[in-house]
Amino acid sequence: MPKHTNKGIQNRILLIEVILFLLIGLLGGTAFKIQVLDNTDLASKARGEYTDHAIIKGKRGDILDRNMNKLATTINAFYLAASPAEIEHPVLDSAKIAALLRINRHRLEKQFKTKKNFIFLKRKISPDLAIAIKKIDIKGVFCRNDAIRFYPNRHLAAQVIGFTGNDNTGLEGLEYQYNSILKGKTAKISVTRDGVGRSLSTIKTLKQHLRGDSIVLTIDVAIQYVCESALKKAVIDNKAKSGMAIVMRPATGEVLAMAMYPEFNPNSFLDFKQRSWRNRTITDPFEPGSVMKVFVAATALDTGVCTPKSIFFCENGDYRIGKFVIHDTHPHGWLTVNQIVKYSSNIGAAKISEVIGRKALYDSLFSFGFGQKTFVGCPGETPGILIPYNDWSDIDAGAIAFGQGISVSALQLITGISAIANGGILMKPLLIKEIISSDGKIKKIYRARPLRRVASIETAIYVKKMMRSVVEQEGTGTRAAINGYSVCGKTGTAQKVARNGKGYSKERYTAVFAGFAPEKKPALVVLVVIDEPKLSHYGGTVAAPAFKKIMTESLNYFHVPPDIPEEKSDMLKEKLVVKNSNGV
Amino acid sequence: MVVENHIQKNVSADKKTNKKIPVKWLFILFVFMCELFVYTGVRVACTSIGYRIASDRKVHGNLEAYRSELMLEKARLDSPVRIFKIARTRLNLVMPGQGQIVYMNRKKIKR
Repeated sequence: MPKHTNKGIQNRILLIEVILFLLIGLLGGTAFKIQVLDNTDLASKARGEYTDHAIIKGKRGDILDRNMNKLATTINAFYLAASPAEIEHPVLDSAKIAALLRINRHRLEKQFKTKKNFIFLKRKISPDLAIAIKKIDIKGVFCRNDAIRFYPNRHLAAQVIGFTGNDNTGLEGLEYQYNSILKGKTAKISVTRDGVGRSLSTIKTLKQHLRGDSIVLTIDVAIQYVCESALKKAVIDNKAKSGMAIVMRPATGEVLAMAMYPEFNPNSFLDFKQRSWRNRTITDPFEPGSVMKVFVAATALDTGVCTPKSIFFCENGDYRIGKFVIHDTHPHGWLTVNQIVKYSSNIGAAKISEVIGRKALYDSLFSFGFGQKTFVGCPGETPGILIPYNDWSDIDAGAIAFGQGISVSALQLITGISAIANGGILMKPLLIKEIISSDGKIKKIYRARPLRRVASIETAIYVKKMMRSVVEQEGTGTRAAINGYSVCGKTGTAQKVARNGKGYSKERYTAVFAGFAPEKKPALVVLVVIDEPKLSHYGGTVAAPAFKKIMTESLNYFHVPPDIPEEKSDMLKEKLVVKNSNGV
Repeated sequence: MVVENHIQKNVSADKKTNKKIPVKWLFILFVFMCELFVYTGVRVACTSIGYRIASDRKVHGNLEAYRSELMLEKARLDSPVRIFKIARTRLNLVMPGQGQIVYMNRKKIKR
């Protein structure tokens, strides 16, 4: 081959090599720039295309009864909102939406014309309504997921549980008190999506971990229902203003029921009066009347100033202390301590308190828990009113002995009675049983806690016998007697303070009955308080029948057998009959 | 002759060397291509499995939500208010009165 031809070819090859080298170099340089120099910026831009940030909030924890029945839970719902700035035909669209929601069309039209970026239209809408709205497909109107609080048992224990507001924050009751435990946690996460917007993140699993803790109460929903039904009947039958009832287990202090009437539905709390929302067994003190004689008798026996058979002259119904005169419902002469409790003699109680002395009486009542909070865990608890003994006038010691001049809450009163039933040991009232975490594990257990001994075992036995006699023949609480069971109780009828604040009213009373059964091993303690009954005002007439109904059904529910021997009971002498609702 | 042989040897040596160089690079290229395919395959498989996991989690979430709704319905059905109403109005039952519940002595039963 000629030399000049070879050289030409070689030069062309060299030229192509140089060009190729330059091109490859350019490619390499660009790749280097993209992969190495601009790596961080471009990667973050790419992430921004398929990654988004979302703030997710876990659901609120549940409130359960002692048998894990749901009393309060959170359910999925929808809310309807709009972006008026995006709505193209406000008149037409408002008419369509108003027809579905059954709201004022003109008002909605006004809202649509405001050109705001976001407005709420309606919260808590059902899934069916949400589907119907989605079908209409109006630009600028959208449904979003929402979580709302729901109370499946409606008015049952409503005042105890309370309710939440629109943002699921507790506003009343245990929902308010334990809001920090119940509320779900909030987290900001990055959500990865593909090219068509499908999420690759695990939002729903994470939501479960963010769920708030649940609270298990000591309340039994069946006993609560029994309590509320009996209380409602007692209030309505006696044309009373309101009522309260508590059921407690004396050995542990567990509150099995806490009922109030009038009731309200926490699912629509705004439809009810505000005064029906609060837990009046905790917040409202009242003068307990003759139920206090139980504690006075216990104090007298425990301090040794008298025995159950010590006698006191009851002045035949009128006893003057200073410028005041104490009256008995029925005049009595000489009565033993036992009889003073049985016949509920105010004069007898006043004389016992004189023998005890102010300091000893005050110390004993304070020891029983009066004049201080129980710290049961409900908001707004009142300590009641127990004036220091140094400030007592001559009449105060006597009045306190029969339950006037002292204010107690229903929970304080039943806790004190429970101490007598429990052999003289005062237990801390228990409303919360345990706290459960979102993954079902028990986080905290609240155990029964004895606070202190307030009376000796012997004193408790004597006082139980006195309370037993109240329910027996000639006692003031015979309407509380239950066939087959040894019921111990005490009636109370207290005058309320006059509306002008001067003295006591002669028309307004509080009727009370507190008791427990069976005598030897009390299973349950029940307190019934009826406020301002109109037909009759005596505790033995108004509150005792409600006590009997609650105690009978509760003892049956817990399978507590009768303790009175067969030969003494009328139970087996009666024929067993099965009644239907027509009474046949 | 010796020079020609030497030249021939050099040429043949060169030829052998030239033959060796392409094989080595081809092998490297082959390994690289294999690695590229494997990498791509793994990435695609990962993404595909990610979709399946997300889909299964969505199904699981829906089932959990359904379970919650059923539990809620159960709570509503278990309400003592409802049960009592049904017992009274539909079944004509009443609460047992005093003396209508007989408690048997366990010791006597065992004998």
